[in-house]
Amino acid sequence: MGRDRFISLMKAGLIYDRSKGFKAEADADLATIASILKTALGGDFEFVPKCFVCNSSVECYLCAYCHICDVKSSTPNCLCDKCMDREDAFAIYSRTLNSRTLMKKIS
Amino acid sequence: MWVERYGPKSIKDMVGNEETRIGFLKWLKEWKKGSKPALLIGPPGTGKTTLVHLAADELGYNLIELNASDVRTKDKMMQKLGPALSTHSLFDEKSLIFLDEVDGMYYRQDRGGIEFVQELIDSGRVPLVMAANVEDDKKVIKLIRKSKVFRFRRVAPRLVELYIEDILKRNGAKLSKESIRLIVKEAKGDMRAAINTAQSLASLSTEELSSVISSRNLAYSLKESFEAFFNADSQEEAYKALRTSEVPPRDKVRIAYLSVVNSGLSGDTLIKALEKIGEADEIVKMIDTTQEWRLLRYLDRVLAYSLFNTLPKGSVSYSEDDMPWNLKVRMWNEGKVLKDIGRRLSKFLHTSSREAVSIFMPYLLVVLGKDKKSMERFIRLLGLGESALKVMMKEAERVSLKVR
Repeated sequence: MGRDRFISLMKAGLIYDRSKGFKAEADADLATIASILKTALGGDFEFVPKCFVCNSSVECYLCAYCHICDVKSSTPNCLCDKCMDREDAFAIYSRTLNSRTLMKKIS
Repeated sequence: MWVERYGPKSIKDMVGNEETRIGFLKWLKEWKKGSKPALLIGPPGTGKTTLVHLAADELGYNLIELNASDVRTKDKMMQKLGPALSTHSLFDEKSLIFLDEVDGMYYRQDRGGIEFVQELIDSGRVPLVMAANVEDDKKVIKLIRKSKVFRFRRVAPRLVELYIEDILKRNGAKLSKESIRLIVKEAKGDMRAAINTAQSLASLSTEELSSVISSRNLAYSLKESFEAFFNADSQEEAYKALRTSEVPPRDKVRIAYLSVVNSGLSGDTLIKALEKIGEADEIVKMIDTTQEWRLLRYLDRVLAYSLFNTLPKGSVSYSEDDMPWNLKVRMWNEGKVLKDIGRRLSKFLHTSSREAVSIFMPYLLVVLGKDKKSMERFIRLLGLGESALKVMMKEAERVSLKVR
């Protein structure tokens, strides 16, 4: 990877954890990160969003919006097919948001 | 308006930018005198303004807002913000100053306004929140250095879909999945735009709706699938982009043709590409005459496996312009020369330049077009040169063809 590239990645909003590897912050500059990693790894790669509710990987290539959604410039959280198809999908999303993030960190 | 009626009533009702929302709330909760101001940057409709309003409400702040529609000169800002900036508050009220669309402030128009914002930042007496749509603006770059920045991204399409479905449910309105997907695609992550479109579509009759959806869907999927086709990294990806779109075959060939001819490809590449489009056109013609729709499966393959390979990556982009750019430039240049000739001719004929061109020019072209030397003399008499002669000879040829 090299020191300079590592520093550039950190500046672009990537966090490194020895035990877990790299993690992108919410406001990370994913386009810059992608271009640095593309050069470092010598090949294309994709960002795979996680389902905000069940934490499974979202399969973008099956999504109806795959042509218009740029993972690099959209909000990092998405919903998987299974959670999207649930009758009360929005209520579950709000509940998850409330319990996992807002409640814990704010209050 | 649905945006107001069904917009989020609390921060937890919003969708997208979850971490950013949390970060902002944390900043406001932990704010103390001298803290850096907050700068929210992101595209329109991503929830910046809504978040500030809801946060102020939830944390008990009196919100004083100045947006792009307000006059934001130093005097006007002082007038509006003065009471909030005074050291003593009569009712011990907490105030939050919100300057929306700071990238829309101008040195000349908003005299002293930008300097006043700098003073506000330096004083740090009350929490100050600013919002901007872009971050490559000079004013915003300066503000970024002095602020705690919160970046907003476009809301993921699936989350927009989820929100629109919830609003429709709350309103007792119904739209088909196809309509909702169209709304989401057109909104491009702008939640406000999505809600407004949903409201306008929900007010249509079933017939009106289906006609709007089919015309918008066709236009949209054409653009969408061809952009994906031209930007594909592999043949497989290019094939997939065309295969998944439900665009009529003739439109596929038409758009492929128009995009290629408007792309400015060099000679050989252009010829090869047009040959491949010709092959695809043959297939469409064959389907039309024989009605053998099973041939359709070959159309996408011809375009993806032969046309795609002839195009250098990134060399062609979607275009529906029915006139190639080089032809447009030629028409524009020739039009300029003809105007000049008309203006000069009008002085000789004591008439307007429009009349000189529309009434007298055709006769001159018929008479002088037969003999290049006479035309040369005429052009010299007008004080013009070679380019004018060329244009006039070409026009003469066109007129003579019409006369015949």
